[in-house]
Amino acid sequence: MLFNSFEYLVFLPVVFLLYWFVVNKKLEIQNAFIVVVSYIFYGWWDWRFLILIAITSFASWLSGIWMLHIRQTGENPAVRNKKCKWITAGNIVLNIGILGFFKYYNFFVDNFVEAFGFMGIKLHVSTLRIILPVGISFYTFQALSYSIDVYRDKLKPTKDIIAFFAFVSFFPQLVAGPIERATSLLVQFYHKRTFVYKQAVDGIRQIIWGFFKKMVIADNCSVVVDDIFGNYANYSGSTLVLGALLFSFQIYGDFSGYSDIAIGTAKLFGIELRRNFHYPYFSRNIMEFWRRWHISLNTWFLDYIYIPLGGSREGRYKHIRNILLVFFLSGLWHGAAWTFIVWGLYYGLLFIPLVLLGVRVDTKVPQFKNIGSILGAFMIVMFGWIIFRAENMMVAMGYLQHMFDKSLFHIPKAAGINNVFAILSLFFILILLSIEWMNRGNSFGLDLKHVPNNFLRYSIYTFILFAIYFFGADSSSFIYFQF
Amino acid sequence: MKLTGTQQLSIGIFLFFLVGLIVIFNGITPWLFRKMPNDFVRTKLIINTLNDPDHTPGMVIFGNSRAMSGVNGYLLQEQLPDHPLTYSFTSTSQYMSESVLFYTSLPSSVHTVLQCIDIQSLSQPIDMKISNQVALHMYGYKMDDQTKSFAFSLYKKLNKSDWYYNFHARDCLFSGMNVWLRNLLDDDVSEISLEHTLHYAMTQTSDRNEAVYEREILHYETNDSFKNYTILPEWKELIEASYQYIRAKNIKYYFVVMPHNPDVLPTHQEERERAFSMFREEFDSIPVINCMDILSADDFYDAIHPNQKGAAKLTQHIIQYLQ
Repeated sequence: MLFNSFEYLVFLPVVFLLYWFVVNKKLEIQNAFIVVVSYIFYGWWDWRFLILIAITSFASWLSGIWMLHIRQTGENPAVRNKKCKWITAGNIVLNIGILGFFKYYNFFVDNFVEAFGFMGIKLHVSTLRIILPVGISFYTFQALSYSIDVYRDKLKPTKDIIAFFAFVSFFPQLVAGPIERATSLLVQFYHKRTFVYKQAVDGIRQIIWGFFKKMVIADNCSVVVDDIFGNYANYSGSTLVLGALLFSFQIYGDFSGYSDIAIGTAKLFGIELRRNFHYPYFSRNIMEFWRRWHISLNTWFLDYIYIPLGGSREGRYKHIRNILLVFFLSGLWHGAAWTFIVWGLYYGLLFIPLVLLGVRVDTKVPQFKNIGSILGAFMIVMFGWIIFRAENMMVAMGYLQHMFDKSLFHIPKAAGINNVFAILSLFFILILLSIEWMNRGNSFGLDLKHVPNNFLRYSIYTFILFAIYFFGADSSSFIYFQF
Repeated sequence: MKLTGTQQLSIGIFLFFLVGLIVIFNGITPWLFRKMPNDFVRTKLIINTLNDPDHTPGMVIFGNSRAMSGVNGYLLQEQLPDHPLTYSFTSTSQYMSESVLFYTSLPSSVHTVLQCIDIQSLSQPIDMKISNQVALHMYGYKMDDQTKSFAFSLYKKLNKSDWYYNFHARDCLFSGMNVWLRNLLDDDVSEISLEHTLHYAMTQTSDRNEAVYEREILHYETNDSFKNYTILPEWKELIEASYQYIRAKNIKYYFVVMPHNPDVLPTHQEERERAFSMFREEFDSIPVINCMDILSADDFYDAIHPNQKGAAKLTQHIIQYLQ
């Protein structure tokens, strides 16, 4: 079920009313209800893949219970720890195995066959027609975080299977994050939720802002972006820059819009999710950008890959290795294609000089005087998005090459009606940036609760709703569903 | 859920605000739609002209954008022996299912109807794009009983609520901007406004973009609309009934089968010919002006729309047939 669909428009109020007025008496019923509606939400795409979520949830829950059981025995701590290690490893292998099969099988087979072919050895391994289950990378990582945290003794394993299933499948963030940790989300399912008026109002604001980003920014940009990237050879360099610029905002609007809707929806149900985007395009350097973009994934890699490998503590060489590995994995996480891997490594390589120079992330709110560094960082990110968006590396190189020819200084012009989409998108991007700049100290763009003037506040709400109603594109899927 | 009085009031105000906005947005949409330029202004022109007794055309042309750009009413008027006042009641995406809605409103002066048709559309169920339905609704089209009698399936499709149509018309601001900017950005845009011309609604706004053209050709080649061609019974019924109606009013009625771009044709030649034979057999009582193969690739400004040169050729072909 898409957030921007008619089904969801009916689903959300019905679930909301049932949740607060019918199943609000007992915690267990509240949690069971969350599981049922989450499975309905996911099953709307393809009910067959519910089995995968159930397997992931059950295996991860079982690994926790098993570790709990082992820790309660009177065995030698070293033996107990070894057993727990094997259980955790087993759960990781199972979950990564499922993810790997559905997401990477064809990619690796193709590349192996090609690599052996290059050496003159012909391999006959056929690829399979595999459908990628929506959101598999998100819920797999979420479930894994539980297992690893239990193993590290950061979290007590839960015996409450319903609460655990609710944690893995909680519908607002099930298919595209934020990737939650058991330490912050699962524990919220241990207590009966009570309706908090301010939280719900905040949630509605955030949902509206998410819809604006998705329907008005991302979906209008996508029309021009698809055309320009699909036919880059026929466009001038300046138009290709326009395409890259619009894609930068398409992916931001699409993904952060989804996160806003997810976080806002969760608030309606009395659940707080972690922030996933923190005005990434106001970053002053690449390091800061990665602190502000897809925060839940980056902190996941930080906590479960980077730090266990030694982080920055084991010398410069290992530090650089760890950075490159994390960005490589981050790229691979996005999809089974070389473009994603190169995109990840592109950032890894950009990070190294910053690390060597000892650059620190400025935690202060960006100011107007930082505009130069903000624009510089944005340009670097924009080039990265060209690699990310391209169908393959040949296209990415062709796009970049064509972008920097003589036509770079022509007036950008897309085909026919796309010019209108481009102008409209640029106009709304300007609105988005203005509102976000004004609110860059708050948790999300439409967080206007600090604006004392009711008229001004309601005028902004009215404008945003006006834009969604009159300029919002019809329902289309979210880019990050494919990851 | 426990709420204080102030919170209940705030929720009430918020819901009132939200519902109020939706009602206002929905309510102002028809007004905006009529005020803004859009690609369906010709629907307004057709409805207004048919309602105005001062207009007394002798010959009328119906069809979609291919007929808009392909059939020149001025030439027909000028070169046919009795110089009939010729009106082009063509409009964007006006397929047969929409054209028939206007038949019963034709003034008594009309003696000839040229119904331009893409025969491949007859293998799809009778339907009408939502944008066309919206335009009909917004510009005040009301189906009369006579039309209902031979197009009842269309009546069912078009009989939706104001809310529904207003909601689907909400992109009118975008369409308005689109038309306005298109006129602003395209230097060689046609001087004749589509909203006012009753004779020849030329749609070509710029020279052929070869890159776009190639893509379009590829699209039509890979989407062979003549493959497994059949004419659906519902179309047979609708066409027969509307033809009987027209003939009862002593109006001459011709199908004009629209031309195909030879750049697309070679791959679909046999299927296309088979489809045309089937169409001829099915409607053997209706005269057909076959224009399928009369244009060359140079006569198109994109994959499917004739340019001015193509329109002149196509119209000459019709004139020869009528003479």
